[in-house]
Amino acid sequence: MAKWNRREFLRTSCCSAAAGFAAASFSRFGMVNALAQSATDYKALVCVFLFGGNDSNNMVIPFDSAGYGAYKQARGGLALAQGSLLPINPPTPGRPFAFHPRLTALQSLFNQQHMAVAANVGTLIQPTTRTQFRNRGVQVPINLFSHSDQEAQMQTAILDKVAETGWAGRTADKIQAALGGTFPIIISLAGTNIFCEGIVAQSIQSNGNPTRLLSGFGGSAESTARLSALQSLLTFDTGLSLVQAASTTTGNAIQNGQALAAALASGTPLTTVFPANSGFSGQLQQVAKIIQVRAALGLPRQIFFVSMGGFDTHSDQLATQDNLFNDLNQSLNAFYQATVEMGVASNVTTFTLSDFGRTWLPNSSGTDHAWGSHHMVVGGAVKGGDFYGTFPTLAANGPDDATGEGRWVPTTSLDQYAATLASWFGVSAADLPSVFPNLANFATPTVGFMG
Amino acid sequence: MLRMAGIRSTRIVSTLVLSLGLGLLSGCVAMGGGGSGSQSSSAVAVSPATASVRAGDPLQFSATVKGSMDQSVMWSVNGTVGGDSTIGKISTSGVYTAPAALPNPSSVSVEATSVSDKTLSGKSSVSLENPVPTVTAVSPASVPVGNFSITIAGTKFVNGAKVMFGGQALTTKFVSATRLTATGTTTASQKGMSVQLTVSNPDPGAMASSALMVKVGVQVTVTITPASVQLRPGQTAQFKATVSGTTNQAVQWEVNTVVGGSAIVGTISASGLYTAPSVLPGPAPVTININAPTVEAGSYNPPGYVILLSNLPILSAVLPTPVPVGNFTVSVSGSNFLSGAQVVFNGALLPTTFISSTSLSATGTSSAAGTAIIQVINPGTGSPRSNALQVQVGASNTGVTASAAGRLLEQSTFGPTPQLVNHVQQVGLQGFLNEQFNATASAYPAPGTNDDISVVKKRFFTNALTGPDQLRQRTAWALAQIFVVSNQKIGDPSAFTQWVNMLQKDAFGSFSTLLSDVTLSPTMGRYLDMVNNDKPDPNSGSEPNENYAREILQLFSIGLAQLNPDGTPQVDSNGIPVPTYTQDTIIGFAHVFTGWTYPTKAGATARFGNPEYYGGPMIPFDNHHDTGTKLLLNGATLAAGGTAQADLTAALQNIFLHPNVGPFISKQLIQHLVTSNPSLEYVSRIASVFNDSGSGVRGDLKAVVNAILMDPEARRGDDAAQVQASDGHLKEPVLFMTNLLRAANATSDGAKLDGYASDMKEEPFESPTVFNFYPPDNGIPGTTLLGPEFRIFNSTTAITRVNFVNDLVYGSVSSTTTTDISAYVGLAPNPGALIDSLANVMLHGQLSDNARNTIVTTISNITDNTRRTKAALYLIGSSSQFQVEH
Repeated sequence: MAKWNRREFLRTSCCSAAAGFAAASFSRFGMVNALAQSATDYKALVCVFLFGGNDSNNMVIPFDSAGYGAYKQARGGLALAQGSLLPINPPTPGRPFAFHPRLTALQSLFNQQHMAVAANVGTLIQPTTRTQFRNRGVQVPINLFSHSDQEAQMQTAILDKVAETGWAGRTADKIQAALGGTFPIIISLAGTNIFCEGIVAQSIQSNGNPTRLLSGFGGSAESTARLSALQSLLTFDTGLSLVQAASTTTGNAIQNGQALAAALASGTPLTTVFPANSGFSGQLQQVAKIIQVRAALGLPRQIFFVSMGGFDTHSDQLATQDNLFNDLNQSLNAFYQATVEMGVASNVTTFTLSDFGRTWLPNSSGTDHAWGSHHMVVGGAVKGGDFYGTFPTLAANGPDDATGEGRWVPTTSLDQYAATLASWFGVSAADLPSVFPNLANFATPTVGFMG
Repeated sequence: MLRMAGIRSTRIVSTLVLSLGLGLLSGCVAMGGGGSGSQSSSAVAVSPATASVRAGDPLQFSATVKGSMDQSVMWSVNGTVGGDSTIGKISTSGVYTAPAALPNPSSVSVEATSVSDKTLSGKSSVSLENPVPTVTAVSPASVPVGNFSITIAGTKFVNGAKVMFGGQALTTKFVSATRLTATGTTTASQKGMSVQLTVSNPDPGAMASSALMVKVGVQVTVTITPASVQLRPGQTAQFKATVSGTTNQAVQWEVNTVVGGSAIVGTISASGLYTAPSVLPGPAPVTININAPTVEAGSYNPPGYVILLSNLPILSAVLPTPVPVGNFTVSVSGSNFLSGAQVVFNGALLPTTFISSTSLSATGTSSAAGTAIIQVINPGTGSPRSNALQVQVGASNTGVTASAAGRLLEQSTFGPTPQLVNHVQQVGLQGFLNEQFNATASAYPAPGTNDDISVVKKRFFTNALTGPDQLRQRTAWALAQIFVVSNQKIGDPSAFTQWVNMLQKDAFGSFSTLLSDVTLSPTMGRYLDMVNNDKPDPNSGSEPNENYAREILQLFSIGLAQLNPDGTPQVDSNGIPVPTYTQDTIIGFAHVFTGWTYPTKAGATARFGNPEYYGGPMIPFDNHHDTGTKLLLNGATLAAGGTAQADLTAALQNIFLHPNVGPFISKQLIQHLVTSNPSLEYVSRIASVFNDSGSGVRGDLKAVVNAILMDPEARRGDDAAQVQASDGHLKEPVLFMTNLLRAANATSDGAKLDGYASDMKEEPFESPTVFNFYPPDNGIPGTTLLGPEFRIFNSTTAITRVNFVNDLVYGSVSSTTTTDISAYVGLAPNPGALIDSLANVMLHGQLSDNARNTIVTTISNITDNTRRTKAALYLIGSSSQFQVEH
């Protein structure tokens, strides 16, 4: 047997897939149901991860003449024409900005104050300046500019080592401790991600379809006996840890898939039209369907993980990002409209994460890995129509440039950004530092974009 | 002379017909023997007054009634009004038609009688003559010297007709109006000559036919080759006919005298290609005659023969593996088994049960461990005997257990098969690896003009299922997951055939060569933007692209942290890993990798910015290469002024010599082949082989792969008692699929398998990013263990994998993917033997007792042996023990 750590001990003792699976009933599910909260208390966080590192320098663009001029000069062939941009007027920092031309619906949501921009967010262990970075005067996250590491850090908020849990998982742990229940609070529609891993809280990690069921069991005595044998085999301890892990995942998949499918059967079709031919839109539509049957699931809190890929625009950035932002704009808007349709617009908050931002100075047709990046938060509970945090000085070798090519040292830490969301979700101020280990290093734990 | 006479005769007839057509009543101008111009003194004048007519021919008569206004007459022959068939008939308008055969006497009287006054009449005397014969063919066309017989075909032969041969009358026999036979004699002096042959009917009116030429002394002979051939159902044989004695080579192919043959006896084409029937027309052997008579009659035509034999039995697998010592039951699968077939075990016939044409079961007793030869003999002539399979009985004298053989095959191939388990037991573990190192690579052919990436994906699966070079493919596939390129960015399928062929070529070569080939591959160049990466442009502010520079270091060679030889990171005093490079290093390498473009297409002019093309390595343009100094690893710096090639060579050497490469690459190869969680010692041992193969060579991948597979830690699980809890790795989707397909003896063209792999998140050549389908450092939630493949094992894909087993076993993966589980079915009457045999192939014989009991109990309730076998295959295939290679 593997050396099971404490976390596994907790899991197996209260809700092991293997142990729970042998019973092959949905009793755990019913147990959650008994704890169902009133609908008004429902809250959901939806993480939209932009894999590859989104170049937010072309998402949020200075629109005043000096700002745009500097932008055009620095970005060269990547500069978007000023006339094509979608202007906005955030009270902070009090000068005109604009969105990428494809973000039409998001511009409307911003103007309707249902969307906020968090400026120059990134992984920080403590407040850091360009000088401190260059002089190695403070500790900085390990393996900056590396996709795999920065993806993991943005998902875990653990910046100095390989993490075993994600910040959503730890947030869910706090919620589950307060509310009880064992049905997975977290559902990923975009594969397995450490974001969802907690100590106690369960997650369903799926590829778009969390309710795929076993095929080939028609109900004959022969097939019923075979299904029973399959389930028995999943419970046997072979003494091999990886076999055990595979059994756990498979057993959970069967059981959670059935439970979720049963709940979804009670849903009614949404009238909101989601964009066709978009995998991202399909994930968000699935999230909407699950939120719709929240009463059947009996979950007062849920966290969802969806994603888009393709943001690693080392080359051919203009066309690539144009397509990506078009999808992002339409899909996020459809999802927001679906929450309005379901009457939960103020109960659901959607936010972006990404590996990192990208260099201010381009290479021949793209940009390279950088650090701080602007992010978007959408929902009825968002104090929208404004920018939060400190917008960086957009200049190579300027006060916010770490390396000389325009890699912004973040001015708001991931911990502050995430803690703002977790706090709204229900994590107490006292619990925040145990979810976000570096939060205590920052003067203000939250940055105010949530009501 | 005779020929002249024939021409004249023809002219006479045609003149007569012409005269009739013009309605001339003045008689014929040239009637042989007629009394032209003579007048009758009768009251009715009949014209012509005399005439001669050949049998069957017509003649127009006219009549003039003297002194009467009424000229109408009634016609009669020999006093019979209208005549009859014996004497000839005459119409009311006076057209007389001679009878087909001459009457006796052979002259008749044609009479015209006035209608208004029957006392008035007149006559014409008509002489009837034999017709002129025609000759259409003689057989044979050539007669021998000396006595001969000949048959003449033609028309209008009359009894008494004579065959004239070179002016000599032959002894002729009248057979019919269209056929004569004759005998005669030729002399040696006539040999080689052509002699005229005619036919003359007898008098009256005797006249010779036109002539045909008959050769003397030349026999037309058809020789068929091959004279005899043995064929099995559906096989073909090309026959050839050689005609001698005449210039016309044309023959008409016949099977059992039927032109072209038939589905029952086999068909033969106009060019002599014989195709045996798919089902024998009778008990084997069946003799079939092939004839090819010339289109000219009379050839001498000895037939060719086809001996139709029943299909040979083909033996493909024997279970169980190994065959136990003592009493045993073996299940034999293959094809073309006939009822009554027998299994031969080391020369002894075993009592055998015929299950189907693909499955037999037999019982026997073996006295000692060793190898045995198994064959199948069908009943029937010649006792058709199958190929021989060598099987293991009991323990191998190489000391290799079936369990050890199965485990090595799980680690080094795309899945064990019963035959390979046997083979490894016989040649030993190292012997098998040595064979594999020398096996020819299964190449990826260049795609056709209209092909897309799907042909590459199909080739991936068909090579994995059937290629003999399993270890090379498996190693190349591991390398393809370290050095990642993807069709998500590159559309041209030739980019991928070039790429995989390159990885397969380098799989057992030097890592240094591999790193250079990867770097200069336009496929990688396109994927990570080294292609057309330009030196800095001070005007636009454009910087070199950092993409390849970063990933060659982070993913392809050294990783992010300085490593100890055992693969663990070196840490500073705060426990923070020591980085291998900084952003400045990335910028240095980004500048190194400037100045390269696609190879130049044939006929095009080379330029920086060559269009996308994958027909060779990238080419340098020094005027687009940055010439400044460049920071490399470990503080090394490239001096200014280097060429693109020189800088590249030096920079790659700088990487290759970094101490991280050994542990970094070795550990990942271990993870792909053997275990997700190698001990530090295991990594350290392999890294040292990487650093020095033992003969002073750094980066010898063949030595590295061999060391990985033969390491004690890789082999300890061969003994179930030595397995450690952390051993093994989850089979990635394509390995899971190919292991199942190979265990189920599947045949596939690879179609649709990519779709299943896609649903399991590992579609070959479609990695979402350069970070592969899953990362090497992925932790398994809830454990302290690594499980790279678990990154793509989730609520959806776990079910998808089980459902693939269902589709393959119970449904249909595709119309072109089929399984053959008949060998297992043969063991199904004994559920325990069936499970053990499946476990030997799929689980290297290591199936826990409780799992075995559960499966045996479940399938024992299924009475149908095929369904019982399928249930067993489903339960083992879907089990976590099979999902994890351990």
